[in-house]
Order: sequence, then structure tokens, then C-alpha cells
Amino acid sequence: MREALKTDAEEVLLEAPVDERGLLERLAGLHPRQRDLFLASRVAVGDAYVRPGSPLQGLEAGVDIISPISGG
Amino acid sequence: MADQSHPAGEAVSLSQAPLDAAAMRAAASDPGAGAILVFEGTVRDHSEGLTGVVALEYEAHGSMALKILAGIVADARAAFPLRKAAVAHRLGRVELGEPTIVIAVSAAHRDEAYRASRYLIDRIKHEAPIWKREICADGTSAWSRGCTAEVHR
Repeated sequence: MREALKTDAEEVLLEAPVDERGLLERLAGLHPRQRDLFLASRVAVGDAYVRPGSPLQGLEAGVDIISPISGG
Repeated sequence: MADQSHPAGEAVSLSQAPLDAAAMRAAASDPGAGAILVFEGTVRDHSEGLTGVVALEYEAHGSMALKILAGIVADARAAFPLRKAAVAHRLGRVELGEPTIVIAVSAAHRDEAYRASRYLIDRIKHEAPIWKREICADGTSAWSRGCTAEVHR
């Protein structure tokens, strides 16, 4: 994802609380060419995946977008 | 990225250096163990729709990966009567045939060791924020498609 977007970080203004899906949809809207990648990703805050459907909190410190993983 | 270990608790690590399966086996040794199982994932020469793979290159979200690995090992300890468990995952370029991950577990009986090892590798593949690029003999490379991470915690 870092290579696809050619950046390590991006600042996004959120006008209302969002959950994981809402944030990924927002990012997908900002980067339509990477839409599928964002929608297959997960959001992590403080080194932990957020629970799907939970409102995102602690966003001031930033979140990590975890694109599809392939370890092992 | 320098080699990293979980700061406390479970024996998990991310390493830029080749993994030492013998050392992992020794770490899992325990007087109460009737079975020690060492699983090595290795670099193979092909992937989905791809032949001529000569190496893999791994990247990780280091701090998060260590936390996730430690949590998975802790869950395995809770789910199975293990004596010891250790996980080491490679980072950086790993050549054909070399281990990419080593999982060593010990238990009083073989069944728990087999089941725990399978449990660990399955969860690691579905949860750890680690990515690999497949490098082919012709110099081309591509990130593995991978899977959307699962959320267990």
C-alpha cells in the first residue's frame, strides 16, 4: 500500500465519528485507484486491530492501515 | 530494521538474520515434554500463478507484529497443555529453501504438540501484520496478494 500510494502517511479530516469500515470507505474514496486494496484492509490503533463496527477512538495519535497480510 | 523480540513474556521474535531451527528446538526442550515439534515454513520456487521464485522479501509492522505473535502464543498456551512454545519470523530477503518462520512447541504428548503447532501457524498467517514480496529469477517481483487480517482480540 505504501508503494501504491507513494507515501508513508496521510492526514485525513473526519467530520463525524467513524468505524473501521467508514474510515476505509473514506480512504477508498480519496484513492479510487486503490479502492479494492483499502476495502480489503484493516485498521489498527495502538498496535491492535480495531473491532469491526466499533467507533474509532484515539485517532489523534494516528492509525495504521493494515493491507492484506502474507506472513508465515 | 534490527532484530526484535517481545520485551516480556512470550518467546517471539522477528529476525533479519537466518533462523536457527536447532536453537529453537533447544529452547522448546523441557524435562516434562514427551514431544517436541519444530515447524519450518520455507521459501518454495513457485506461488499462485507464479514460477521461478528465487527468494521472498519480508516486511512487518514490527511492534504490532510482536504484540500479535505474543498474543497468539499466549492463546495457544491457554488452549493446549504446552510445556514451551517459541516463534521466530524472518524479515528481509530469504533465499529459496531457507526458513521464513520457525515454530517450536513442546508438550507431554504428541497430539497437543501437533495441534498447537497447527493452531499457531494458522493464526499467524491470518493475523500477523507481515508482508512478503516474491522475487523471481528474471528480476521481477510482486507483493503476495495475501488475505485480509482476521480480528481475534
